[in-house]
Amino acid sequence: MIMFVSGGARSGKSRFAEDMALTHYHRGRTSKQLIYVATALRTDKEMEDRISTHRVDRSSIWETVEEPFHIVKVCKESGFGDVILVDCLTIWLSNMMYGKLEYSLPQLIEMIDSCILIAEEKRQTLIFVSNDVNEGEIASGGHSAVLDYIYALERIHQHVVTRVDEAVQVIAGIPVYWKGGGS
Amino acid sequence: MQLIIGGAFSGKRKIVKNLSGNVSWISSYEQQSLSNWEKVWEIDSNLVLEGWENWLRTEIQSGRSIAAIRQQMNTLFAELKAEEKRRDQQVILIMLEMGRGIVPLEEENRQLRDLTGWIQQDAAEISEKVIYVWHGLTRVMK
Repeated sequence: MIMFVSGGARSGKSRFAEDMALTHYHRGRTSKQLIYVATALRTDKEMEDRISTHRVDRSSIWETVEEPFHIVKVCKESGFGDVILVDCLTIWLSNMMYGKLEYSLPQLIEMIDSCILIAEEKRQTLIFVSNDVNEGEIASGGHSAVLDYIYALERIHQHVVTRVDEAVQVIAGIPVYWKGGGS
Repeated sequence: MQLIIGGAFSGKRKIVKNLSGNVSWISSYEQQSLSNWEKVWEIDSNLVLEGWENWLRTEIQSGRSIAAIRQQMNTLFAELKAEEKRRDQQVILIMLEMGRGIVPLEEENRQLRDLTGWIQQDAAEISEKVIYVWHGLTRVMK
């Protein structure tokens, strides 16, 4: 099962995605690992604290993998029936666009597709968390680098929603299903 | 009259392009002016008006009051509605959702954000159908 979860800042999307992941993990008889793919870079003390707070918040059944760039590698190394939560695409994209790496947008979309294909082959539950950042004022009055980023993110989002079984917008902790019924 | 609303690059245009029938298209992104709508609107086609935030910004920059601009736009909506009825065609408004971020620092951007929000409320009220686009997916709101 492939799922896309997005919403505004502090809308409860990560919490919802984690609950979904746990539900699928406990439901699947074949589940082996519950993998949390954290895409944030450890850049400063504030970020370190944020990461450790999140780690403590999640129970020990989670296997946390910090992978700011090579999410396909994580997917390749995962096992049959695993539940994988990627949190989140926004941070991953900014790492990929503004780091030393140079990838084209089609290449980035291909990486996401690879993860989806692997998840389908291995009968995994794969959940992508992202942010709705395209509904603010910056969209029209903004700096062009910001517009480039929002454009790339939206291309990825639009592609991902065509490939997933369920697409969910979280508003104040409440899931609104745009695709799939929420089984 | 239909209103298609959604964030930047959310796939609004694609939704409209997938609708059937001929369309006459006026876009501020192609530097087209809103006032030409009657001339551009070809016979036996639906009229699409896209990029309202640019047209509204131009109005704000001309120094007119927000209230006056809003009044003018509401008059325009009424004219469009009358004309679509007369022609038995449809008007499709594509509008950018931009009210969900932080309050802009610059005065003009604050005014524009307020005005677009009000105009969108007015457009939603007068439209028979309102569609919200989220990452290429659609939801009928009205």
